[in-house]
Order: sequence, then structure tokens, then C-alpha cells
Amino acid sequence: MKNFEELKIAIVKMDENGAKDAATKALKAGIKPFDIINEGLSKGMQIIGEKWEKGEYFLPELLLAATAMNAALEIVRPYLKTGKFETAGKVVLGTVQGDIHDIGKNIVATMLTAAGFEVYDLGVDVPPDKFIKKAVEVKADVIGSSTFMTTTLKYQEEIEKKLKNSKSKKKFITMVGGVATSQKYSEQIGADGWASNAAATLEKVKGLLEKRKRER
Amino acid sequence: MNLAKIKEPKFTASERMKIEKYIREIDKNIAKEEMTPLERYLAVEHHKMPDRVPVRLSSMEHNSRSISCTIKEVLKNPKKAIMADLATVTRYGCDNVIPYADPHIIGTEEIGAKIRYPEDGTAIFVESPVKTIKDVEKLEVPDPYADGKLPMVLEVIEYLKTSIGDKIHLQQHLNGPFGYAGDLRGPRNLLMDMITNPNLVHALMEFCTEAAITISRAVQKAGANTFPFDAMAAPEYVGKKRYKEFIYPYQKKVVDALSPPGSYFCIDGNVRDIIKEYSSMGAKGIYIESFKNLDELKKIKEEAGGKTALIVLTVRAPELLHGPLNKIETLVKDVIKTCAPGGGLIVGAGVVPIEAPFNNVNRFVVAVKKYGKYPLNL
Repeated sequence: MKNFEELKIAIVKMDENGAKDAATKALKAGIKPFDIINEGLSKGMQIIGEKWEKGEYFLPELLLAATAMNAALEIVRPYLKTGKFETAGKVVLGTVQGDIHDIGKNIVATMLTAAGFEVYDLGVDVPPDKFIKKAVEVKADVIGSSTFMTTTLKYQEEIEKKLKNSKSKKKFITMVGGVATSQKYSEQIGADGWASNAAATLEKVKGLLEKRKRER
Repeated sequence: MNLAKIKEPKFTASERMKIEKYIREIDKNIAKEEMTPLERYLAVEHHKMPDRVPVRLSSMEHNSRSISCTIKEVLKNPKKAIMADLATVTRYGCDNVIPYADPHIIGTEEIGAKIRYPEDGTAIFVESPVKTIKDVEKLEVPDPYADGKLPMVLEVIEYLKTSIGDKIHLQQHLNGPFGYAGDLRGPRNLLMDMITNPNLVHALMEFCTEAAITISRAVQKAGANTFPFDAMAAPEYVGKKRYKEFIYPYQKKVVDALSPPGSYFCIDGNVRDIIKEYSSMGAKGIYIESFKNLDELKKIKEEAGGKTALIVLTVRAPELLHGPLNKIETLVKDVIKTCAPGGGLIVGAGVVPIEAPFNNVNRFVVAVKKYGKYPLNL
């Protein structure tokens, strides 16, 4: 469909204004908001992701595409609330307290949104309690925390401890990420998952949610 | 530029006694080996064989734990900074010391970024001032002898140079041009500007190169080896073409301007694609932060061709924080086995987490001393 193609191309071209225009046009044409995201915008982000994996695109491209994606989502989001649909899951995301690095976290947020997840991005310098409070409020499936710095790793551990102490650990899947983290580290602090990049995070989140569905 | 003499901190009598005790302990440790740490580093820098592979401990904020004070105290009080540094060298018997605990903020506030200092955490950037190319024109290169905390940083370096600089390798991390540019523009914006506003990137990089050279020269004059650091500069983040256009020429200018006596240079991320350029920059040593596997590391060393020392990262923050100890040893041993034959290797670790247990950090240092002795026996 022409609208979907326009949405996809705007993302692939990293064209923020083009993405906004395409989203507005698609809504006026009566296309369902969920389809605008899934069949248009997300397809564009998938191509961006593939180019990243192949080493053709790098962070500048990813960030520009994410900016275009988010601009289009801002246009579509208000219309999402008026329809009934099922999301892939709810994710609370943030960079931990004391840390303001957010490039990786922002890319993860965009890719999760593109894949149909409802993402609550708390931004940067987020205290552990805020992650948990938001997750409880929105009935999140996943809490994802990121840290770039070794000095703030302790706050990821604190999220795990607080969840355990309040007996809420089973309610949420926890993912940790960021340059300072590792698979071993995530196991040691009791997180459910870790991934080294945005694409792997998306796959890991999907996998963990699938596993939880089967176990319930 | 104000060339007034850097003032020396006024230590009390009991503080002086403590300092003398630290220095005696450091001397005792050094006497156990053939070369002093400084001799060891100089050997590697001059392409000669040391008695063993030098160890490089990136202990900065963690130093505050050596004297049980907060990070803010160490960042704001030169006496505490000095005591923390001496206590750390004594504690771990490492070959190097990094005088000022937070490299990313040396000069950045003085250029115009706003920073918040938590009592006991890493300094946080609050605001990056550059929004347009016109903002770049308003920036001023700081005077290291008069502006902000720069004189304090130089004071700490000078004191350490006088007290232990004849035997311990002083290494001051600070920003490279891309590092400063990221702080002033915000790293996300800077990366996107490479596509949408290349003129702004070049204008900012020109200014930041001048700032990096000015501050680095003052650090050299005070007595420390300079380690300019450019985060997110590696081709895996920006692409090889962009690295060559937007970053390499400016890094080269910094290294050229600091020679003699010469400077190290640090880029994080995988540098395999640019190892020819990186190793030919003219730096005394370059940082190899990331590699896919030991085979790739071997190729990196071959392609670097012995032109410069390689500081290879072995153990990272998660291992320093959580161990296990045998993994720390294995990581060190594997890199030494791969890269130490023929010399030219300095073994490094990731930035030591503030709360890293003594045993884990110590195991890293001990492992380098155990496996890195020449002739190698692995």
C-alpha cells in the first residue's frame, strides 16, 4: 500500500519531516494507527537494523532514523488510545541513577516500539524506586535498565534487591544493558537477561516473554 | 596565559608522615623487581624489552576508597586527591597512577559545559552549551593556570611528580578533541551532526583540538604523561569513512602538538579497521579497548607493526566488581600469551568500579606480575 511505503521510506531515509508528513497522511486516509506503526514505520526500522547488522549504517544513521520514528510516533500515539489492540508487551526503560548516557537506551526504545511494544522511557538519571514504581503503575512486563559507567552498576543491582525484598521479582522480567555490563554480571545480580546491542535486546525480550507465557 | 607557579598543598606534620610512609612502602615494593615502574614503561615506549609487562590500573574514583573518603572530596580537595593516589599505589603495587580522578571533566566546565557533583558518585553532565555553529564561535580555550579547577589538577600532578614521579609512571587521562566535542554538543547530537551538519562538527573539532592541546601541554609540563581519550570515536560507532574525515585529522594534530615529549592516545571500541592509521599517529602508546577474540588481537599487534606500545584491556568492570578470581587470571594470561612476545605490551583493565573489592583488583595486578615476567614462561 502506498501509505505504508511512504512511511517505510521516510524512516529508511532518516527523514523526520517526511515521517511526520507520512504519518499525518496515513491517519487522514483512515489507516489504523497500529498498522501505521507495524506495516509502515517498523518496516523502515527493520531495514535500518539490517543495515546496521551488515556494517553499512552506524550510530549516526540509527539515531537519525530513531528521531524520525519517534517524531512519527508522536503523531500516531494519541490515536492509539482510542482503539483496542494488543501490544507485544509493556517495557519500562531508563538509564540508571547517576548516569546520563542514553544513546543505546534510546535505540532500544525505538526498536522495541517498532516491534509493537509499549515503551515507557523514563529518561536518564533514574533512581531504582522510579523504575519499580512505573512498572507497577503501568503493569509492565519488563524493566530494562542501562548503564554506561561502572560507577553506577550498583543501581541495577539495587533494582533487583528491591524487587526481591518487596516480593515483586516474579511480576517483572528484568533486563540489564550498557557498556559496563555483561552476561555474567547480569546472572550475578539476578537479572533475567542481558544483551550487548539493541537488536539482541529486542530478541532477548521477545524470547523471555515467550518463555514466561509458556510457563504460566 | 598566566604562568604563575603552581602552589603546593600545605600538608600537616601527620599528613607528611603518612606520605613518607606511603613512599617507603612503594619503594619496598619496587625493590622486589629489577626495574622501577617508570623504567619499565620507558623501556616499552622506546621499543626495548622491560623486565616484565607493565601493568596499567585505571583506578580513578576508586582511589577515594583507599583513604575512605567520598569522590567529591577527592575531586575538590587536592590534599585528599594526593593522599588517595599515594594510598592506592601503595595498596596495589601498581606501576602507574592517574592523578586526577575524573578525566572527562578536566577542562570541560571551563569550556562551558555544566556539571553536577554528587557527593559520592561520578560527575554528571547537566548541560551541553553548543546548539548552533554560532555557539562554537563564543567558546574560549581555558587558561590551565587560572581557570576553574585546572590549577588544582596541575597542583596534584606536580606534587606526585616531585614525590614519586621518579619511579611511578604518572598518567593523566583527559578528553581528546572528540571527547570535548561530545561534552559540548551532547554525544547524540554530535553523532547526528556528522550527517546533518558536518560544518558544525568540523568547527567544533577545530576548537576542541586547540583546547585539548592547551590543557594537555599544561599537564605534560606539570609532569604527567597525557592520555587523551575519545569516547565513541571508533569505526564501529561512526564508520571508517567518518572516522577519517571528522576525527583522525584532529587526533593527529593533538599527538603532533604534544611531541616531544610525546603522548598516548585512547579510543574506545573496536579499532581493527583503523589500526594502520591509529598505530601510525605518532603516539607513544595506543589503547586497544575491544577485540573480538585473541586471533583478532594477534592480527592487531601484527598490523600495528611495533610502531607504538599497545595498552590492551584484559579485565573489565564486571570482573573487577564480581570476579571470579580465576577468570581475572585467565583473561590476563591469555592476552600476555598472545601479545607479550617481543615486547610492546602494556596490560590494562577497565575503569575500576568505585566499590570493587580489593581482592579482585589486586588479583589483576598480581596476575600481570606473575605471567608478564620476561622471559615469558606460559
